[in-house]
Amino acid sequence: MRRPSEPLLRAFALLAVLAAPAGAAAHDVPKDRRYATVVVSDRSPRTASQRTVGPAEIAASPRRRSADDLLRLVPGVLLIQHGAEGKGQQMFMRGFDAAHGADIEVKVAGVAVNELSNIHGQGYVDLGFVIPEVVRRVTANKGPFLLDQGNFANAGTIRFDLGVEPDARGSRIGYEFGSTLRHRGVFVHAPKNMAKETFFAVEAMTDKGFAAARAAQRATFLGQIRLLDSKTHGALDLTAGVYAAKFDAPGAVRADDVAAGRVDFAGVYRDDGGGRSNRLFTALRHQLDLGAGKLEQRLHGQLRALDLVEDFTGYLLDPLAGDRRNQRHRFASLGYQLDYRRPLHRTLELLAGGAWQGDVLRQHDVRVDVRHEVVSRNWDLGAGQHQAHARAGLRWRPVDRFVLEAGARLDLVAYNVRDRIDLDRRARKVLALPSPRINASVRLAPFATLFLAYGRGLRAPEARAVLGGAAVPEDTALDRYRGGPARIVASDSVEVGTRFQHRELVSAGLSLFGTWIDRELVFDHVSAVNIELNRTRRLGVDFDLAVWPRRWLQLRQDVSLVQARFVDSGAPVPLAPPFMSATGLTLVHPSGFRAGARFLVVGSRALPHGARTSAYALLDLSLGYRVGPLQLDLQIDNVTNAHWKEGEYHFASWWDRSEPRSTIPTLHFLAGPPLTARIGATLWL
Amino acid sequence: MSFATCLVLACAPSQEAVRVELPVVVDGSGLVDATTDLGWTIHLDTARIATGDLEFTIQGEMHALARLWDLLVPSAVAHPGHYAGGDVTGALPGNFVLDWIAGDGDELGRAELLTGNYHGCNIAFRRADELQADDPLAGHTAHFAGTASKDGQDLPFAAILDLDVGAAVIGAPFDLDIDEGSSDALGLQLRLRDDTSGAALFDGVDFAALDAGDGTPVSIGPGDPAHNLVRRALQSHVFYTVAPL
Repeated sequence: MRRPSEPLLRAFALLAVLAAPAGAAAHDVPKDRRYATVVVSDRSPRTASQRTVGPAEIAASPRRRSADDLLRLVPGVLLIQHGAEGKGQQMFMRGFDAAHGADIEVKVAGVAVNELSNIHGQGYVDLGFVIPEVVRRVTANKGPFLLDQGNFANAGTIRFDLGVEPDARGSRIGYEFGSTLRHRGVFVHAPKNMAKETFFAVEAMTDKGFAAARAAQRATFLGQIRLLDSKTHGALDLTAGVYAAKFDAPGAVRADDVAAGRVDFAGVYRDDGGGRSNRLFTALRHQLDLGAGKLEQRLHGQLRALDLVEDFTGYLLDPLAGDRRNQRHRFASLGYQLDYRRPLHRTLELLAGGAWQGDVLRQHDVRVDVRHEVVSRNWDLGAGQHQAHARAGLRWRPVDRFVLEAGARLDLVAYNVRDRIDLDRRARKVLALPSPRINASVRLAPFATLFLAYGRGLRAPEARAVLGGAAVPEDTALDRYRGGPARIVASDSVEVGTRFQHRELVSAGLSLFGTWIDRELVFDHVSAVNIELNRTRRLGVDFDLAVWPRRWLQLRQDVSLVQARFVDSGAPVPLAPPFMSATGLTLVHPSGFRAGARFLVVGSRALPHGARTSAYALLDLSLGYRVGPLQLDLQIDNVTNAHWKEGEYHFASWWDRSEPRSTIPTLHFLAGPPLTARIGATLWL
Repeated sequence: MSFATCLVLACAPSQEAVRVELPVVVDGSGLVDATTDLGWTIHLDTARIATGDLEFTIQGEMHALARLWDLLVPSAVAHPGHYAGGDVTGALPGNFVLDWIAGDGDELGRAELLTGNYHGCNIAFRRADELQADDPLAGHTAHFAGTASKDGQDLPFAAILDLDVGAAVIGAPFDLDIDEGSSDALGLQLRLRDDTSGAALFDGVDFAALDAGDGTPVSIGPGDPAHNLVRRALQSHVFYTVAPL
């Protein structure tokens, strides 16, 4: 395992110490370029667990290597990177192992970026194309309680709003160097005379990674411009992005091999895993006042490519060629969204909307040998798919202290799938699901509000499931289970909570929630059947406390407790974290000094078959100082250099062919990064 | 206080699933005479099958519908974090010749199993290439010899069966909760008839039609239509059971 250079780390530490007093002496920072406050208080949160992360907290947050990392700012979200930076992360929230996005809807600039039918994972989310410097706000709505939360929002929706706030506008160029031989350059141009929506940003990054097979590179352009701002024709914003990335995929190592010294803690069995990810993204948003009503419509499109070679099982499936899998996914999509709201009465507002997205995709999953030549083809599909929904609801506010929002949406998904291996296999399917949503808030006192919410979430099946899932004939003796038919998985969630907000001094929220899934359906990629699982229930508590002793200082404590179980057996839902705690500090002082700290504790998680992951605690820090046009930043991840396992899994593998092959699952893990540091300089032009 | 709690929680190490080792033995107690759909009563003097690895599976949280299964049970080898269906959580690797008559009670070895609620056993077939050439099973998968009787007619027979590479019995019944205290040996039984479905191993074979009439035993071998019937039946889970002894 390659470790960060000790002298390098010492140099970073010295710089950090020197930076603070040097910065404290500087007084010439233009005030218009300083964040004035870290206070972010939702004036009218719609649910108790709604959380908004503002620009100051984003800018000062530790471990902000990419937009993916900004998801960590949402309480109760756990991310696991089982590739290198650039591969979509495994996400967890509210007792869901959302894999790569199957149960967490993620929206960027209003467009859902979960990829329906992605070959690597349903709802795959890759946020690499989002440059962190132009993320203006991250908003999390846990649970599927709002009408505009769509496919994959079983655990909730996280929205990334793009833009540059007035106090950070202008042009800046930044360079970051990291102890993993990371080089990252970024240029942001946000003209001061234009609205906060307008910016242009480019980014280039290369990183060797903290150990073998963890290297990553990416290049990104992301821009947004207000094309029109007219009282009669409304506002028109164009967002466009181009992204290309290359990354390694180390795979997981067996715990028994590490214990026996056969492989390093952060080692790999093979170093030829990796992938490429490319995206072309564009969205055109139009906002218009129509009398008393407000109309927002959005046209969006994407071109997308993902290639991946990885191997988690060695020679278990193929003792000769090995088990490397090459996955390739291509898609083009076009979509349209409409949102309309209009007061019907002094106390009543109509909420309506709809959306359509059509995708054309081509994907394959093949087993390849050491030269990455095809050994066998598991999947090769071409598909067209449509997602559409219509929603309508009412917002009733009979008195100031009470708000009720109720409505329903109807989601439709349609597939036309063609098997390119067996050309006679073709399947078409249309599925629909109505989802009622209701949320209410009652202000009990000027500083305390009670919230109630119910909603049905959904997860559409992937295209392969449509092809592979034939109906099970119940009156036939089966030689083998052929799986259930593809269908939309529905979840029902409730949340009861309160929020106490005392001016801009303190905000505390407590939410009790429950989610029930009557019949989980998982498409098993190995056997190619839709496996129906038993009923699950997730019960939990989210607690968050933010204190602002000064406007430039925020102290936070977030705790999430979840019991995720199969109802009949009482067995835990594998991998879902039952306990998470994040203690944080954000400091953005008008003198130009800024700092962020996060102490994260993740409790032990249940794995399949009775195994358990280790728990871990991580401390991340960031420090920064602005001296005139120059801003210096230092980020230190894993300050205590904890020896931690980022991802732990329980499955079978066979790497040493001199040993007997065993199909019995055993612990595997991916080492988490050790202490790493990044130092950055930004010049404000 | 909360900081201390967090630190304590954060000290929990990884835990492997609990494993137990149980002997697996050949159990001939289920091999009793049985009658086929054509009315032939089969008595076996020899019942030998060459197998590879034995795998034991749990159903996990699959919905009850899947209990119809005879499930295709993939090994738990999917991408980590992505569900892999019914899982193989126990195994006795190796090459075996299961002999339910001469070898009744023989121990095949000690299977390693994770604790759990077991529902199935997979049996991989192979060719017994390691046997001496004069052994009827040499180079083949199964060898059955015995007598088929019907209406007072007794016909001795011998069947040599070849199964393709990769052929296996999937989901032979094995209903047992295994915990840390489990110590019973697991008996692997072969039955000539499944009372639940009424199916018999030699269903469809008309021994009289195969009888050459010269006093030699009826012979069933590769290439015969009867071979294909028995070979197909041999892969059905209903003729096998794994049960604690």
